Amino acid sequence: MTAGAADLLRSIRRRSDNLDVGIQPSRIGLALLGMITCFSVGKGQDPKVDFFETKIRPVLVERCYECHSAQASDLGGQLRLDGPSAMRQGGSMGAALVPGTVDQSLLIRAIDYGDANLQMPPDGKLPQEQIDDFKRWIADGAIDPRPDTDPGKPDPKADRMAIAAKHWAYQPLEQPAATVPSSEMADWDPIDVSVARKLQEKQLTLSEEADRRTLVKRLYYDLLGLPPTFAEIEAVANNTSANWYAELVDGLLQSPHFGERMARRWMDVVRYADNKGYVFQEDREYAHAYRYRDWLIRSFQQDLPYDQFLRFQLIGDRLDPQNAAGHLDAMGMLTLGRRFLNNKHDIVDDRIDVVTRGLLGITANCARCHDHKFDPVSMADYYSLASAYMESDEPGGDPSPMRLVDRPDQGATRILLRGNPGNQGPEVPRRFISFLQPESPVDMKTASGRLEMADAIASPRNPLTARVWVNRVWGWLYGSHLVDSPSDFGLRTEAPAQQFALDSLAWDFVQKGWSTKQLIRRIVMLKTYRQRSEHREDAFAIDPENRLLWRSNRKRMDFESFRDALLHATGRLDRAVGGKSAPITTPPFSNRRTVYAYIDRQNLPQLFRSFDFATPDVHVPQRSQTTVPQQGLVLFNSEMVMSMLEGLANEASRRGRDAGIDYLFEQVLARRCTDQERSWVAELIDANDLQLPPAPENQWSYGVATLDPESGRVEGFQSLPRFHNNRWQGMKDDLPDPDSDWALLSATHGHPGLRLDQTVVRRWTAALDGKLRVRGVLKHPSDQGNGVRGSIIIRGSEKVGQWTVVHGETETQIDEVQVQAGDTIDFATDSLGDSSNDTFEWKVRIVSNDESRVRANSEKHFTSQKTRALSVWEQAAQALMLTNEFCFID
Amino acid sequence: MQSPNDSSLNMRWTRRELLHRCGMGLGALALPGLVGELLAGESSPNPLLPKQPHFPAKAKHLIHIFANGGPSHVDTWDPKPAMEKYAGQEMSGGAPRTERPTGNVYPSIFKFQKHGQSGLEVSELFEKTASAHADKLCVVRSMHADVPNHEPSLLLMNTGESRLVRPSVGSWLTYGLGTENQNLPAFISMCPDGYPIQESQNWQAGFLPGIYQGTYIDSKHESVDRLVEYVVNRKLGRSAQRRELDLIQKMNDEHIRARPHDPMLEARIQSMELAYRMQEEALDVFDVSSEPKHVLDMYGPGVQARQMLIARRLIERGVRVIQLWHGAGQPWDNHDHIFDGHRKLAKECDQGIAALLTDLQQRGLLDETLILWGGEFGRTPTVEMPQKGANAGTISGRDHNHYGFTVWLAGGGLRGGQAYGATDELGFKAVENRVHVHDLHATMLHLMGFDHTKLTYRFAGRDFRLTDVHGRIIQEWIA
Repeated sequence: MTAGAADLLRSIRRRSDNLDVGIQPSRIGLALLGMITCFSVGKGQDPKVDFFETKIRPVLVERCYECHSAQASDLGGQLRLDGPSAMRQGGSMGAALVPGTVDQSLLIRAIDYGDANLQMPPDGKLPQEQIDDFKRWIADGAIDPRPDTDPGKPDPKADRMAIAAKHWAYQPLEQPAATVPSSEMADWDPIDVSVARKLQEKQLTLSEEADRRTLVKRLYYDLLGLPPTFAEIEAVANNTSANWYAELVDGLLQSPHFGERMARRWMDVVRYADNKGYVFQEDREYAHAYRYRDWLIRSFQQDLPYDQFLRFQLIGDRLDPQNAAGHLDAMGMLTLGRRFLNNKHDIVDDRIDVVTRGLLGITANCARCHDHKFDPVSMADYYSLASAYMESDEPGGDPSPMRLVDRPDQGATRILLRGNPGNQGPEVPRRFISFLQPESPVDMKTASGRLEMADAIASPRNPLTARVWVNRVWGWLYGSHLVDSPSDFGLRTEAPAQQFALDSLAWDFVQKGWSTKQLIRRIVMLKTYRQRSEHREDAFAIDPENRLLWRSNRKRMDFESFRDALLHATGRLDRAVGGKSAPITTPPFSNRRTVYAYIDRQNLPQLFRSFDFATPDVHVPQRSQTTVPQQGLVLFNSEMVMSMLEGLANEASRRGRDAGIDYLFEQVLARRCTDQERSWVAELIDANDLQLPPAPENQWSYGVATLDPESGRVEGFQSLPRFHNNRWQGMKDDLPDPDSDWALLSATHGHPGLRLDQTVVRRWTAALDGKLRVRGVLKHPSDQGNGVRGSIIIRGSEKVGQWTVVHGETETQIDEVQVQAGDTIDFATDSLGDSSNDTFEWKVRIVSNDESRVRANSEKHFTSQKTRALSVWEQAAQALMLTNEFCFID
Repeated sequence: MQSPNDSSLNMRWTRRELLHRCGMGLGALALPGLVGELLAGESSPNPLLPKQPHFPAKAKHLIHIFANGGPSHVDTWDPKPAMEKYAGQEMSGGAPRTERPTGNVYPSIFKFQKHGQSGLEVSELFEKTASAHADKLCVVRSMHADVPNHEPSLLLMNTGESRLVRPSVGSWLTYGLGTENQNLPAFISMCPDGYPIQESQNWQAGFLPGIYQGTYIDSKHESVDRLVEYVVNRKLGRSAQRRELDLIQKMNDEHIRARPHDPMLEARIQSMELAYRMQEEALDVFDVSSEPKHVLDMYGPGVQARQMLIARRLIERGVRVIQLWHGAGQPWDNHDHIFDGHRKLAKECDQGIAALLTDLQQRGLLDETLILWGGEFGRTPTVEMPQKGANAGTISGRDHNHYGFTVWLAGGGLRGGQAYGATDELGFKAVENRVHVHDLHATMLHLMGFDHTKLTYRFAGRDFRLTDVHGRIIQEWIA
């Protein structure tokens, strides 16, 4: 056993009072106890010790210990910095510091970077602030409460615990002291006052309030994920009430689409998908996943208090065991993850991740194999959390297939050494993460600990739950988070630049009954939120990342909002709330909001990936934002987008050119167009020279025509109007059709109509000039009837080949045909006056003269789509929807 | 995010500066090629711009020919004459445990022959590849993995982790290196007629941004619009599309004029131009019919040959990583009738592989391309026992074998003409110079210019890497 594991074992036994084995309470145990004391009293001990703990120790641990502590594999300069004596004693160059004397302290010389031969840390100078802290600390006597560790006995855990006790995110929630407002700020929210003061320190100010139309669009996007209509914007613009903004906010919070917007955001947090991922043979679907999604929508819509919201998702089995109120479905949060071929340990690991990172901003999964290297999370913590799931079953079936229940026969929980199920370590007490809740271990014989976990998370005393949630909500609304690692509030995460805002929101949120709607209302009412998003040179020079919140952030629409906005602009949006998931990438294209899209975890379509959709495999703290040409390809070329355009285009075109253009702007961009813009669009509308692209499918058409079999003249070509049973045919489902009789064409086969004016024609139109050959076989498989006659005719008039086949087959080869782009080659088949038993097969290939390239293949390029070129009005509509204006929110 | 080497700094010219340097006015917007790409990358969030690795390296591209299902090493690259000696006998101590029960030693029927100056011994199944390229191959006969099952072994070979969600080798490489051609996907995974087992998880980006995920291409198709999603517009000719794009960009110019200094807006403007150009590039690269006849003849007929040829065309155009899967499911998984099965499979790909190596070399691309051939594991030298519903009830196949198997590498920076490591006398277990999949990954990253311990990504509070806490660089492979 390693020294670390032995220490751990000791500390665990200490905690479970398992002292009869004769192990003395270890130093770590004591450190833990000391830490707990720190928690209960918070700040307020010796300020010099405080200073060391908050300013000095973290830097030593982060930047120095790797080479200058007992844990260093190669001790630099024989110097250790992991204990007070070691520092004074120093290394090969002498004492690292002399308390009280800054300029004689070697440490300062090294970190000052003034001496080219002695610069530490070697990977980069410390920030000046930290260097000044060290100077101040040494000047003040270098107070150092760390115990001196024995050589070879590193104590990283004690370091972590001591730092944790002072870490900003782990401090109890309290009402932060507000800055005193100046007179003009008298009626401001204290958050705005604090933000403004922080800006003042840098000689900056908040940006002006954005104009009304911008704010309307921003609020619709942030709260609903849908754009406002032209009329909605105008209504707000003309609202004379002094409270117009608050009225708008309150109205939007009541919209049925608010719940959809929030639910989809939460679905990123809990890695929602409609299937299990890779499975061997079992059913891959989570057929009931949508019920969890709908529960989320309802909960946000009804503003279910966030603590309740979490409790239902963790212990719905206890709160609504029969699913009478539908709350049992909330357990989908835990149970809808990837199945990892049903490896229970991996399933549990995934659930721990969702709960710890998603709800608490704690990264716990490293502790599956070893104590966390940076944060105060031990293997004992991990396996204690794991037991909450290991000791729960998924009974499936009624009343909810997504529920978990505690197993009737509860087992002990053991650490799995190095995460290996075959290598069981010591037993651990069942409780929540120990640094957050050191007491009240669960009785392992009766309960999994899931209830206690829910209690510990959904608690006003938990310092993380509310902070993590308000930070997420802030990020969704403001476009950047206060804490920019929203799922890691660990020791390496610095306090946010605007910490007052975070703490004030968190405190207020819990005080006001965990109301997410109230939280959102407070944020969007802030001056900070209502700022313009424009660039300001003065502020940008000082704070390019906008950490001090001197402007609003311009946002690019996320995937869901973008697709919803397309449906909205084209008038196709289906506003129904709730229901089963709908595939959105395949025809017939759904008009449902994207929150209802079927999420295939295993093979997420490229469409989602191209637009930075959250991977449904794991908890996603925030989406990445990339700009790549694949996005443009989807927008230009996808059937999904192009299929939306027709209705809108028809409506515009009906109004005539200029009025139609005005209409398009109002529908798509929700504003009036300028004269210049109107003239730009008019140019496109007037061009009107439609051309299909030369895709191989587009080169074929299927119809009937009048054939003169002697001369080879083909006249009056009419496309077969209907695609039915995988073939083109007349309008009437049951043939014969009154116009085209039995005429039909499939990928390989066909049937002529009775008369010569019902000759069935497969027509190819050349996209390029060239010398070609035709290869093919015409078959008449039936042993009855009088057979069929096939003719190959160029440019509608030149017969180059003709064959009659009766109960057999014949090759139909033409060795050289010269065509120009736009020329046709017809494969015409007629009935020879008797259309009974006239089903034929005729597959043809058109190849280049040297046979090296296939130019056309009647079977492979057969298509059910009746392709028509995008009309100019459709193009105009598409163009407006592809602009930056459409996809960015100021 | 920690990038391997912040060369993006080099790219951070301002747009104005760049135009100035190139002696162009602001009118020259729709620039082709590199300059256009630089412009797109200027201050912009395109994560696929080319980046420098940790140190200079020969190999800039990777082609991974994946013989999925588990090709038998003792029938291909690892001659075991002792199998004849013990034919039909039980292995001393019994066969190690694999997925299914196996019986006695089952000698290969294939003839092995020495090739090249190196005298590398290869079976007749890969006669064409061996006879033309033996001296370029670094054949690793001492590979081993963790378990004898397809799913975990595929994930291990592709992502370095057998169960959890992790980025694939190709995703790591495109994250580290970006790509040289912004008009094509950076990482392409081709598999004819469907997915291999574990499906798109084999080329997943895991927790890396989704843009590093491999783009799947069903190489069964011949027409480009079926090969690459969304690359063909079926309803609009090119000039009409250009006209539409011009309207969009006029609107965008007005829009950005009122909103200066926003790289996101600028980036999207440029990416629309790139999308427009990508249509043409993709149409061209996947259309092998324009290749001269002697090249088509060299690769031979069939889908394997065609995807090898497409791979060469993609490498030529700067695509970073290409995976070529033999087929959907697990084609090399011959639990029965292995000799017929392997003969057929090898015939499908041997000529294409040989042609690919020849072709790359002739074009001077072999040096900068690392080629890996192999499966997720090998097969037992013992015969699989008949099982109802499992192996056609016959005694004619081999079971999975993760204890020992063979892969080979060729191209950029490798020392060819060698067989590295060895399995035991019968070919069951790797015994000499054993190489774990992590070691293979570490060495591949090294060959592509990366310290495998430093190519990391911060996720869930930890810096992750392809080799996790493992991986050893095999110096003997490196030229």
